[in-house]
Amino acid sequence: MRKTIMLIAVALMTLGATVLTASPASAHGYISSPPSRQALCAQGKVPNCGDIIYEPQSVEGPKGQRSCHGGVARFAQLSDESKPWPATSVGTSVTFNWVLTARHATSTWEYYIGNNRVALFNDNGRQPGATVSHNVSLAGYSGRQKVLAIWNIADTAMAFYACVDLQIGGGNPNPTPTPTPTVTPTRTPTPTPTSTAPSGTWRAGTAYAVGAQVTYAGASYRCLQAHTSLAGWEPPNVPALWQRL
Amino acid sequence: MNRAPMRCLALVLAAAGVLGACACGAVSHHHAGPAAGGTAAAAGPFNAADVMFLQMMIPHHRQGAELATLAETRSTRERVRTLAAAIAATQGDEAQTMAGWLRAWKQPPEAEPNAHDAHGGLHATSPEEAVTLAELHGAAFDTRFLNVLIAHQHNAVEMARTEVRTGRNAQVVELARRIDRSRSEQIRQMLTELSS
Repeated sequence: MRKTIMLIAVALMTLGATVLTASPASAHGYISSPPSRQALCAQGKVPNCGDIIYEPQSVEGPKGQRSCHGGVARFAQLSDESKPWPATSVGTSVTFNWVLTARHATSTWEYYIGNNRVALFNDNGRQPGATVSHNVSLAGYSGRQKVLAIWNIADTAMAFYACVDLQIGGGNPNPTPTPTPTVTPTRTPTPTPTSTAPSGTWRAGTAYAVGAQVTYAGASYRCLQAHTSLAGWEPPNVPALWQRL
Repeated sequence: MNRAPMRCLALVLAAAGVLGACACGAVSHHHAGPAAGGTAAAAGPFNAADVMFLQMMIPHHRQGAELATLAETRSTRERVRTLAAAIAATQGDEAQTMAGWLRAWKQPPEAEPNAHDAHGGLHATSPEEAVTLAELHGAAFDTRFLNVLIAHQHNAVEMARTEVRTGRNAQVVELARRIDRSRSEQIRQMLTELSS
């Protein structure tokens, strides 16, 4: 609270000077494919990732770090090597694709394996588009490797960090993990607080074809347009997809 | 890291009425009668953040729908075409609802260009993006399309979360929550599609 008041005070003081020159409120980005650890977390493919599942684009820390979580404590799970991070099978030439949600002027993009910088792309302060792709040669590397990618912002002291687990040049990328010993949970899992599933046959994550019929919260609906259902597309909320009968 | 102060700044600006200069500032704080065109008005009081959110989301939706429409014909993957078509259709509906609320509140449907720079004005996908996409085919199209639309929907989520924190009107906030949920799920589907 005190911090907030401080920030407000600072903001008010700098108001006049800042309004017109304010840099974008957020400069964000991460590697979507081959999937970075945060992308895997956002997809729910790795359990217990913490906050990062809601904002895979926010691994922003001071420049010069060499960790998967960029020193951001609440994203520390990204550096947890005991997690079952799946590796993507690739050859020795890999195209890394970035999703950029704010297109901040960029100094460089760096790629590391261990302490070796395997690639450097210098943008000289250019503003990137909504997506950027880099082709990186990983010749000389094989087997399972962790690539650390860094997006260095030109006009701030910050950078964005993303780790990508790769299996280079064949081999089984994801050996069966050592079976975790079965432990009886000490407490019953908390019931999901979010979606009080309303009655009916409609389910999220289902492929519905035109003409399919469902019930939702006491009403019947017919599918008007093929889609895979998702949370937020409940029949009464999306008349383009469902007609009430 | 430096987001929190900027968010605070945006809040302070809104609170201090500094944004009165842009279209989003002139807001009467009470519900202003039924909507034209049969669209139900969002009942109850509203604030500048509600108006700003709607004014930003409408063009954002239109852009998203334009991108999605490209994929309906160009993507080589059926799952991508189906998702894109559903996104275009549902965002069309939402844009209509949002435009109806603004009409009922007697607010302009869109803010002046750049009026919202202080609220993350870079939250627009550049128009050149659609041009670039239209020149691509096959796998190259799919990869770029999915990455661009993922970024676009992340932006929608960010705006929706700002509305949930700062908005006042219950219906607009509820729509924002739904936008957060549905776009997050779409992002999930698209990330999965990229890795398959």
